[in-house]
Amino acid sequence: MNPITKLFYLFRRCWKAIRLFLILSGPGLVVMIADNDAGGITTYAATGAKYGCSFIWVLVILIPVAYYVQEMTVRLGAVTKRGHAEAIFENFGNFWGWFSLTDLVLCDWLTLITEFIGMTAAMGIFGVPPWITSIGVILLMLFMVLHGRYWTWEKVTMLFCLFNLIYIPAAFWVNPTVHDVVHGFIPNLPGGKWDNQFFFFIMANIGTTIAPWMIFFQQSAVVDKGMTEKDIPFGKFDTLLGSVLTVVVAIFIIIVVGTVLPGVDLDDAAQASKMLMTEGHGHAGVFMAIGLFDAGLLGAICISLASSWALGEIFGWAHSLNNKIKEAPWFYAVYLLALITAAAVVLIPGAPLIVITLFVQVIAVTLLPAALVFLILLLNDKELMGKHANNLWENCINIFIVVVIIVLSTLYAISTLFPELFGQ
Amino acid sequence: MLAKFIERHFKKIHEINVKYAKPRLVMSKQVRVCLLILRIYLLFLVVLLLYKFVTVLTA
Repeated sequence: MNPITKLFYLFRRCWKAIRLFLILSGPGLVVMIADNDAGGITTYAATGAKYGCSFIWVLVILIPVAYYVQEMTVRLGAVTKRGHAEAIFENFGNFWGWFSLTDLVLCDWLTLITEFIGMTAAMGIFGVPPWITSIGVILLMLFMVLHGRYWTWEKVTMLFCLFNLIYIPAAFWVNPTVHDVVHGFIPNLPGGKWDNQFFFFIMANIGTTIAPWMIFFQQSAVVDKGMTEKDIPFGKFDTLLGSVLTVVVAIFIIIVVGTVLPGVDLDDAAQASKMLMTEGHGHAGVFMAIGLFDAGLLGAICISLASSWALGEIFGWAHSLNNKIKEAPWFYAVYLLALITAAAVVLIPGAPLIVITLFVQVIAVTLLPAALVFLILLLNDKELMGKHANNLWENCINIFIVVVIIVLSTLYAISTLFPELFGQ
Repeated sequence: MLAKFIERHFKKIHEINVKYAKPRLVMSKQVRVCLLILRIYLLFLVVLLLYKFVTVLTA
């Protein structure tokens, strides 16, 4: 074979792999980008304002953290063809099954409320009343699932994922210094010393990286998409790409806020957006607001589905996005009910939204350790996983990451309950 | 109608309990230890929440 023919075949093989990846990609990208939800954007904005670009190196560490946890759900879903809720019921019995299911549904619903808080606040910047935003979002999300095809839903969701990249041009708009950004990639302690506040922000950022709904969502999405064992390498790459993108977006948010609003104590991302506008960075502020709305929307899309899938798996209802509404009425009823009730809570005058936002962290941390430990135990079951079970190297990395996440997210939840412990 | 709805769902929950009564995973020593630690962890969180609840009420 001459070199040109060889090159031609190599190109054809690569092109085939790319096309296959484009078909199989989705769950990993969607879950990872949706991880930058309204709460996540607020955390990154507050971190950027506090520490500026010097915090970037911490975020880079989150790439392997997010990847190694989520790739386990790809393997488990593709091999067992079961969602995480069903896997827990089947392998650990009723107690842990019901505990996980009820905790997940409660946690998802509370998180959904925080997404609506973010979306209404973002649209409020453009003068859109909260009730219009809420109704518009519910109608949009209903429209997305009406087609009765997983593929359509996934591709529309990926379109919204693209909007999450809006922070990248926003960062170029505020003209950060290259020195600050490059220096941020080098591990450093702001002010040269370790203090409680810095530790608090590390906990907050790691705490937002892995949420219980992500584990349940990605595993169910892998099953609903119909991925099989041979698709696992593509699923892993999809997850890796997603975890890189989610951190890239987080870094750009930190650059935007850290450059324009250094040292400001921010309560939420909408406040950052408004302040950017008043500081003479109108375009960056508008982009920030659009990004916040999109983040809330992506979070809402994934979180509402995580609950519907989990309940469908356990109660035996038809629970696929490939089903029409008539074929899976309970699946879509739960999806819609979660959305309507969460939106309604946000619209109630004087609703304790700040308490809800804080309470989410505590509820999430009651479920996260169980979901992660079950993941590790199931991935070590050779009978269940066969050749896709964890090897020694994967076990070492995964167990280390899981222990770190559990410890830090627990401390974060404790700091939410008792802020005085960390000097907040 | 509501009674029927509730009855049907209680029946379903009973069916689920029967279906998943016996865990499939072999309860080896490591698995038992992990589950025990998880229970203790949950208990710890519940105690913390109760403590917070009581301190908020009495403040």
